[in-house]
Amino acid sequence: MDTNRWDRLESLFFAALDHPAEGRIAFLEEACEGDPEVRREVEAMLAAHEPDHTLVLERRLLSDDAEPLAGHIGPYRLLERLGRGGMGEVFLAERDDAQFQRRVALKLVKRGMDTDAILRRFRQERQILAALAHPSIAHLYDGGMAEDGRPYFALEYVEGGVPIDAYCDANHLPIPARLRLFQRVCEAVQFAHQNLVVHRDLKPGNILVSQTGEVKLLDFGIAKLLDPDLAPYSIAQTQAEVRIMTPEYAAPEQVRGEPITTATDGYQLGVLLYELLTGHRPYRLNTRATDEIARVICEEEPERPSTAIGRTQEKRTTDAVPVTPETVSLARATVPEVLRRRLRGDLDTIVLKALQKDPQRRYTSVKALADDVQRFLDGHPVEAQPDSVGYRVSKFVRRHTVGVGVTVLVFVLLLSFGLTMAVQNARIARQAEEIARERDAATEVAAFLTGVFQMADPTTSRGEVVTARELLDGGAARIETDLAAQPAVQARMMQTMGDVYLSLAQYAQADSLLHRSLMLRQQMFGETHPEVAEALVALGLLAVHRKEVAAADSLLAAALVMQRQVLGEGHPATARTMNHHAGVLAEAGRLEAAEALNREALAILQAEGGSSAAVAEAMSDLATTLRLADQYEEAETLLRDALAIHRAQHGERHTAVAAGMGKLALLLRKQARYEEAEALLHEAMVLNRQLYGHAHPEIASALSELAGVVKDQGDYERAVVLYDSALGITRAVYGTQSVNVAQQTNNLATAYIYLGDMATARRLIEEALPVAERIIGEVHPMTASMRNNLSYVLGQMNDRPGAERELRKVLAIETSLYGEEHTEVAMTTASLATLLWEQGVYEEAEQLARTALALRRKLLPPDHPDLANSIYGVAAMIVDRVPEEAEPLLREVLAIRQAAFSKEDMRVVLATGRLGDCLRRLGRFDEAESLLLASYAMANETQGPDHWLTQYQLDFLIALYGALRRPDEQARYRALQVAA
Amino acid sequence: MSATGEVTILLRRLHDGDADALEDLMPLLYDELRTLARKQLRRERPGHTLSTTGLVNEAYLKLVNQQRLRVEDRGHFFAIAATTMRRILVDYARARTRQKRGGGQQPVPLEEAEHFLSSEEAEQVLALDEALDRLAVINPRGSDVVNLRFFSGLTLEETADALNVSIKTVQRSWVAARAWLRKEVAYDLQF
Repeated sequence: MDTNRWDRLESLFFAALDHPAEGRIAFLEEACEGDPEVRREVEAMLAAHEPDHTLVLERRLLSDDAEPLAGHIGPYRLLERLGRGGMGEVFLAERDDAQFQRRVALKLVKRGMDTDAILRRFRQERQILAALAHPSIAHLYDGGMAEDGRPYFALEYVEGGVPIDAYCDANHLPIPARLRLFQRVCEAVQFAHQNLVVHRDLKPGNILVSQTGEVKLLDFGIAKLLDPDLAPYSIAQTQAEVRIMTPEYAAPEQVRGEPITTATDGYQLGVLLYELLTGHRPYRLNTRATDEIARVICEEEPERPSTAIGRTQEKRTTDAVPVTPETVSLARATVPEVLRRRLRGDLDTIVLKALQKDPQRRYTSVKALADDVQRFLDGHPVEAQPDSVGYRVSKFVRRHTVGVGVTVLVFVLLLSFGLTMAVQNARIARQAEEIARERDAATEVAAFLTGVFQMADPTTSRGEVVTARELLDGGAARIETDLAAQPAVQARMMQTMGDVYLSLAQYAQADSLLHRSLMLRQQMFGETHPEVAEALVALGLLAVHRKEVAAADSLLAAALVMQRQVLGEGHPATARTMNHHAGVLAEAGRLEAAEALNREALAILQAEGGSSAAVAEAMSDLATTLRLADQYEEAETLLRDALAIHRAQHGERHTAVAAGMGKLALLLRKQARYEEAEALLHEAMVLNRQLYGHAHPEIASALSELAGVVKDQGDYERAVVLYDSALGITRAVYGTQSVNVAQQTNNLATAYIYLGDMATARRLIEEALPVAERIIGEVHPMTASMRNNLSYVLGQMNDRPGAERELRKVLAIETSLYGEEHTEVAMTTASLATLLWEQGVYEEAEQLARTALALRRKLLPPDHPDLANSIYGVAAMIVDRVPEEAEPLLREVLAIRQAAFSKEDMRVVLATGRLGDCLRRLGRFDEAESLLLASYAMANETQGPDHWLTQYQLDFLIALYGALRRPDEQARYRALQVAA
Repeated sequence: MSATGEVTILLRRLHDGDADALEDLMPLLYDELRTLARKQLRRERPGHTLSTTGLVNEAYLKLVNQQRLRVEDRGHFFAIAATTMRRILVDYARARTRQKRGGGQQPVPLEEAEHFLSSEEAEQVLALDEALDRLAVINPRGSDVVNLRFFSGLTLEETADALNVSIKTVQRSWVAARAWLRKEVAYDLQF
């Protein structure tokens, strides 16, 4: 038997199947005339084809084949199957219990696919959706477990929903209407990005338009949390993505398996926009061959939309109309020539910018894309620019990736080396001998680098791709031997590489290189010399990064003395060291000394015509010190000026810009300007990831900054997740015995405190405190903060003496660090007052509370929530004794809190209730009643009837109705009280 | 080197025409699939049948470094995984039916096999295995399609991608090959 025979079997089999069952015998008799064996075989196949011949084994193996509708899943009745993907199925279902009648899209894991990995991914999709409440994102109703243990969840069903492209065509939407609809999609995607979710599979099938014209984004099935540490199962997602992804909508980085970022969604939106505008996809993929698709997506330039509409395309499916310039134009309510002119120019440019191969060259955010579309709609000039000739040439060169990559690294190293030389050349030019040595040095360096980069030669590296890091490691290993004859060059090269390692947060390598460099220089130049000072600064900065404050202080102080002596007061390098040293002083709480040094450095740089970048750095440094010293106004001006300088200098995409935004956000947060701060941090985070990748200290600190703002706004669960991922990164980078880890642990503990999980918080702090004390000593802002948290936790766990003990320690530490007049001191004083009050030490408590309030009125703006806390503290203590003094205080609290928080916020409810109670004491019962009824209703609604806040309001109400002698109401509210 | 890196590199070597890579890859996959199966059998509630598709998927997640895997190597992985999974099923089936012919790579404890396959399934696995060998001679594409569908759990669309042919072609091959195999297996088991 051979393959020809099979072909005959197969064609007879299908031909027979095309005949109605009763005609098959006759057909086969005729077709197989003279070949009874074939006829018998085809007949057997036809019989076996019937469903009742299905093997038991098949059902076992083919877990993905259609299973009959199961009838009910949870409270839902299944109506029909809407779709089936790799992992799960989607049903149209109806909730038919008495409470609701609601149609939902019910997503269920496919039978046989319920492995751990897939279940995790499924649960993750559910979590992602739960966090994404947006009118244009299909809403998650609920979820649960089917009888057989498979999880499901119920999503908003988009009644009459059609894919966005079909909707546009069916309604003959002209270009502007399509653009506006597209902007709605962008808004939803941008919202997801702000919640750190990337969709990754945007395509018309996942973007429905409802009968009422609303856009709904579906299917976060392969979505990714922007932070890999927030998404421990990212491999599962990647796998799903690779197997399910729609090739035509895949971004180059997806095809290449490179990191997925928000820019990936931006690209897919570009494909969508292309299709909405032209009726075609950017690439003509006439093949299913994946490698060919990959090549086209990664290499070929898409046609301009205005050109693409000239294409004629065969029918995609049998019942679709062919796509011609005329049909495309008709669907857009126009004619080809007009459409072409409409697209040519700005729209071409916008679409092609979104479709750039290099994520860095696309729009910086989805919002930026939507904004540019808006500019087009408004008739304003768009931001996107066509590719320059220079860029197109460089893009051509980029195909030789390895060669170019290596060139860039050589360039970076030579550049940093060359700069050092330039500075030093001027100084030592008088010495002919030195000049000769420098010349030799250049040759030596060139030879050395050649040796290093030979590793990138495929014949040396066995064909594997050599990363920049591997080159660096290889280079570091060779400095010792290859440059032994030129110790000066060797020392400088060690410093250069040490600096690079420092910027990569590889401290051990940096440490050994920088120490070697210092030693060599001291041997060559003696103890006092500019190059020795430079080595000391480098080591000082390493200590700063490791938060070894004492070491940093002495190293930088020594370097500064040396530089003042050998370089002079006005030298830019001296000024830089001043700022470094000031940073260390500020960190140690010596703010006045720090500020003086910062101002001296800034003055030097401005007078000596230091580069604008150096001036900007100095401005931010001063601003940081001022922020710590609570001088916000001048700090903000300085930071905004510095950011403007960085942007002018480097453009939008630069570490200095990201760092500048972070600093400004910190300042805003300190002033309770949370929304501004969060927006800024999101922007910076996107930038940071593009610049640093994922596991880097910068990302960890950016994450905890963001967590801090999120926490300040009351979203503690998100804060825990963010802090936890920051801690994960920090541990990975520094190991467990590090101050950074201690600090992140403390941050995480704080978030747990807010969440109410005191046991976890206590465990975390008690773990971190000894580590921190061992490294940075007992009198330090960080240990103070940790003890402060510990005190709070102990208080919450009813260990009041323990709490008091910790808090008094904190107060002592802070007073010795900052002096009497400082926000931290005020805050601690206030906390101690509360704690003492709770223990019945009323007089000292009240006295401390008033001290704290006086301090805060001096230090904080009049609308600051922390100020409200202090006022509340005093008011609560005096309300029963002198209610007439408490009333204006409580009104002030309420006003501040209502401005800062939403009306459901516990703090607002608390202040409302307290004011009501105060008015009751003053005999103003009507006002009191309306306030107390409102605070009770809000507490009951947001916290539930048994919550302490609600019970608190009940106490107030009962007292009020007692005073009013209305026993019925009093009894009614008494009945709602829960035994304490 | 981690198994993940190793599998990815082996797949690349295979793609570059290095046939030895296959010899290295199969035992690695075999071990991983067996380990996963054992692990799940220990954990699962009794009566729950283990999904071969699920196992292959998990092995894929575990062994393949997505970041480094080229698009074209994915098809390779699932083809090899299918062959391996089939071998494992045959080993289980032989243990289940106490047949000793041929040698599996690892001895399979009877209770593990009983947990994995019912006796009816075991009979069918052995018959199917032999029928598939015969099908491969007369209809190589059909046997590839069935292998990927049955033993790696790919959908029609994924199978089309892996074999680089249209869905229509896969659908057609699948229906005909399945009918042929059903009749062969049914015939075998009658005697």
